[in-house]
Amino acid sequence: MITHIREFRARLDLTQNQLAEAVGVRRETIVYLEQGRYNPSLRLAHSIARRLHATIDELFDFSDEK
Amino acid sequence: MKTRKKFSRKRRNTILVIVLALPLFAGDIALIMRGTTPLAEIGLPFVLTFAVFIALYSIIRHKGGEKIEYDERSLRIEGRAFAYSWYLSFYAVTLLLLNDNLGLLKISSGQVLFLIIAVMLITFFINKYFLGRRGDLED
Repeated sequence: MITHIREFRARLDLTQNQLAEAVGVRRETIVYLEQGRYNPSLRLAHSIARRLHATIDELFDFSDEK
Repeated sequence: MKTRKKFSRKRRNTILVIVLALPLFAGDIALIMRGTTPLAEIGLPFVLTFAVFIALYSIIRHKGGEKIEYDERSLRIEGRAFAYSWYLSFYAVTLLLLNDNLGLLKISSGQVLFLIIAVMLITFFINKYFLGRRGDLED
């Protein structure tokens, strides 16, 4: 899984901490999400997408998986 | 003005664990070395030390600015770590039963309880650590 959270976060000048607090998760979870090592729940993906003014499709790319 | 780079949160927590754990467990070892507490009875002091350590660690972490203690990822990981720990403890109990039936090692009921608690705690924290490092339950 490839994520574009970091790029969208940078555009809004948000820190990992600020994003984590906004969506109600630990900063560590944002770190793993940005590295594509954590598969979030639909609810969390939706919260992040809303906070970053993006769609889930824009943030998460599963095209590398079969 | 030049600012000094602070420790990362992960490194700070590791240092915290070492700073807290060392004197507490050193106290238990000192008890054994002085001979006031026989090795066979060290189970209770170790369990109490562990409880004090966990309480202190939780308080310091909370005061240190960890606003969100649990989230969906940490709960998933802890749940899986508990499940693995339960399975391993079950095997440990089976081994202890086998030992009792075969009469291989003579151990008191206190030692049996201590061993089970130790297996439960140690396997839980090891599982939690490795799952946490991996990032998710599935690769």
